[in-house]
Amino acid sequence: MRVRIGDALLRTVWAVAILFTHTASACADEAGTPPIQACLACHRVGPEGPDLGPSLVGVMGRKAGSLPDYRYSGAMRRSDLVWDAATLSRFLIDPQATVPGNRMPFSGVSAQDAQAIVKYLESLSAKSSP
Amino acid sequence: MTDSYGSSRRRFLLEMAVTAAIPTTARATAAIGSTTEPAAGPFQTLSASEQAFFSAAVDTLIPADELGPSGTDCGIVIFIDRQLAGSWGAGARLYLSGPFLEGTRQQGYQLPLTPREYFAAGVVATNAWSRSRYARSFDALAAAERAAVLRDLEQGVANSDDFQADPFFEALLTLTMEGLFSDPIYGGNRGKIGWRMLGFPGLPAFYAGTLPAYRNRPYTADPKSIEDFL
Amino acid sequence: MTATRLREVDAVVIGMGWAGSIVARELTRAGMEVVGLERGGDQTPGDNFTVPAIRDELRYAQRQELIQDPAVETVTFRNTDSEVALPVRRFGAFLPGSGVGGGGTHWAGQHWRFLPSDLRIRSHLTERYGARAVPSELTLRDWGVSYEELESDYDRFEKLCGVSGKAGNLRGALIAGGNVFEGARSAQYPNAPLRQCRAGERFEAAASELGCHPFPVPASNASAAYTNPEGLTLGPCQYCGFCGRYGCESNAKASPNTTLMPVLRASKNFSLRTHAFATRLLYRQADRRVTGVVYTDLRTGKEFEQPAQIVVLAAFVFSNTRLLLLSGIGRPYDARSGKGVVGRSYCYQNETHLPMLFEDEHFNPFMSAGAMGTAIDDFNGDNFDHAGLGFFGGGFICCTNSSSTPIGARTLPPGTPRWGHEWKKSAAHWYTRSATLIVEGSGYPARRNYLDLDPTYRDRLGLPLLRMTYDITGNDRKMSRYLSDTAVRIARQMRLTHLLTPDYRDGKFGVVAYQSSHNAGGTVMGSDPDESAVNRHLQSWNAHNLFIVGASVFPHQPGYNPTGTVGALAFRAARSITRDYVRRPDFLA
Repeated sequence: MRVRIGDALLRTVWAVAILFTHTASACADEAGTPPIQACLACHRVGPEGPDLGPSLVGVMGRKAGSLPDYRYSGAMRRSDLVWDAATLSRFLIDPQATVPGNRMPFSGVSAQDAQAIVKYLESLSAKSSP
Repeated sequence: MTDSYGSSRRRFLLEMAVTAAIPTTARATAAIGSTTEPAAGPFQTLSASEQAFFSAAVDTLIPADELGPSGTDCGIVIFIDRQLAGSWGAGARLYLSGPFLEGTRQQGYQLPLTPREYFAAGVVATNAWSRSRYARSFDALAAAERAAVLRDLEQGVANSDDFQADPFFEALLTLTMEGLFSDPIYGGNRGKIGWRMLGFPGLPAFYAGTLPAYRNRPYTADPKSIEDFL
Repeated sequence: MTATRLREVDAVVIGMGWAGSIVARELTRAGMEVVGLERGGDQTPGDNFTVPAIRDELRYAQRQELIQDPAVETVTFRNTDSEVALPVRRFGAFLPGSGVGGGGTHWAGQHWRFLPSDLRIRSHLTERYGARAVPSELTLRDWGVSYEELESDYDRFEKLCGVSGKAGNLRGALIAGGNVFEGARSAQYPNAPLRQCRAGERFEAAASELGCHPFPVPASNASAAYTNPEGLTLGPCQYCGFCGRYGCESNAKASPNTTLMPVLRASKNFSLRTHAFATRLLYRQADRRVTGVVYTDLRTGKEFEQPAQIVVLAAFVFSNTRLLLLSGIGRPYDARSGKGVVGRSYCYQNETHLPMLFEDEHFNPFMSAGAMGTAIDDFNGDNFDHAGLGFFGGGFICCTNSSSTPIGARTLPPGTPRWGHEWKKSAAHWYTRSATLIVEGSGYPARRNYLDLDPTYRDRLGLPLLRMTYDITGNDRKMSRYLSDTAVRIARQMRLTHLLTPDYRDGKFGVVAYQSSHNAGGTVMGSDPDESAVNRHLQSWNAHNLFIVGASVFPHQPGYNPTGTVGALAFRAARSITRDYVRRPDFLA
């Protein structure tokens, strides 16, 4: 069976996430968990995962609101954005300001966390097979 | 586009829908102390006398002032009409099997009536009470008289063997408040006026990032509703 | 009319709320083939709980879309057995859940443990106050399982849910800022506490000044993203203010839908059947076992028999009790004689509210999480000396942002008219300035409070409804008054502007106004088969392959929200099934 690098990276991320959340000595908090973990509640970054939000597989370079099998808000479909490091970062910092009326249930992250998430998504796009 | 509902009222309502400002028009002051116009339709279930009743009732419960227009102009009569015309009005989620016995107050609603039927009966009963006090139906009363009749309902003064008026008043008040504060997709809370009155920001309600900064100072925002996110 | 007989499976679970989902998952994990029956419909966060539709107070809080439909099944109610019970035609006081996830979908997320003394209440009170101190009116009993035995299950359920909190007793070490009255925990909470609201800060200061020990309310609203042991991730709570009565749009509120169902659905061993209304358990009294469940498919009206090696009843207090009665399992309780078991010890949470107004604050009440709050436990259980007080029991007192959505927001200064110009001015002024103290008081059982079958009224399928005979006991009224007055003292210490009168539980219990959905009892657990329906493994005394989970097994309702203990007991029952029962299918010691 071919092992996709994307899967291994995902497993590492999840292992890291679980390590942080189950540390006996401290409660997990926003400083201790990888920023991408908040996204994993709703988005999948591999073949399996939740479908509350659209899949992030191949999101870099994708036109916003364009996946055929996801029910986007009207605002996202009409947004005319293409996801790249700059637009994604803006959106992650303030979703409502970037695409007013979109329905991602998230109020935003710090610029630092946005950068980390974008970096992760870039690496995902680069390594996953089509 | 031809306008068949009275051009000045329609213009006013259209202005309400597009502007954020709370209108302080002559209409607001004119409503106080005089009979108000019944709501323009179209209506799905309310009869003419019911339209007139509800308009007069909600304008007494929610009178026009600097905080907002009268209940009718907030869309509450349309709201009531749609609620009574829909599945809730027809008795959805209501156990309607008999036998129907008079219970204690603790046992709650025990009538065989759907909400549609119940409110129809309440309108008839209130008009009968109004005629017994003032020789006119409720919608024909002056504002002070309407308030007096509603207080009679509220305090149980208007109760009879046939009809308990105070639970009807509670139901009417609840339906009116729902009409003032529910999402505007249901026909009321026009222009989010109820939400503006309170300072309720509505949707999308994602406050994780905002909460720390607003721990002890007022957060205000131009309210958004479901329609703004479709 | 004969039911269509299906192929036998290892286990059938009736009810897909917290209790049923936990047991179903544990049984599939052990390799068993499980059928899950749910009377309501299916629901998933992606289909049913998305913004903007979920932000609809009329639909979910007023019209109660996620709540059980009384037209399908309700209960009848009377205060005493000298009255005729009448149907609860529209749910008010309590709101039973429905659909996949049940009450665990629309709950607010308060996630508590009971006290060690709660689980051995009778012995504890006897030891401390003497055998004659407990009035005969209160039919309190020990639960048959200790807190120490249940601790690892409490921990397991909290880890499943990613509960946000701060421990007050970690392996015996007391920690300031946590609940120093709690039973010893083996581990810290899996998530840090939620943010504190401004009202909670004032409560914390006032309670501390009065010598109490405030701490953050333990919340199944994730304070940060969290991946649970099933590999399912919860998102960070958005403090949206649409929590209790709603499904969560950001997967932050722990529910069966977010923490278990995706894994169950993917399991080859699990079949979910929705719109499946269980109408009776098939009982072979001579063999002391049940052979399966008969249910009606509500979409077609067709009846099916699902044979199973093991039956798990997890359908909430009312349906658990009713199904035993309809199936002739166990001796029905008779209030006059005090004999019998099924329907015994019905209890109800005595929750009271103190609405408060603060001229000098803007609390932004629309920014809140379901379980966001600060609490004290100084007056819960037997945490305080009851000598001479004339009652037993207690509850926690917490402060939260008040009802944050506008239709329900009603807190105005005493004497304010409820409509008209004055009402408008007052509502506009006070809406953001209100907060509430909540007392979550205990409910202790009495001989005259019980459940049985109604002689007259029937459900949609024509079967008798469950009848509730209940009024607040003298003990609980006194307890509630004491706790509410304590809350009043704290409120005054908060230097508020207006304090509204608490809804003291002095009058008769009524089913109209919402009070609490926390019902308990009917199929209680215990060590005496003459007074309990299930043993310490939640195994029926009457049928060794029947297990009953949920608050129906609580012999009393302690002063906390019940869900934490429902889940813990569900894990315990599941382990008794997979580790012990399947090896030796018989009554467990």
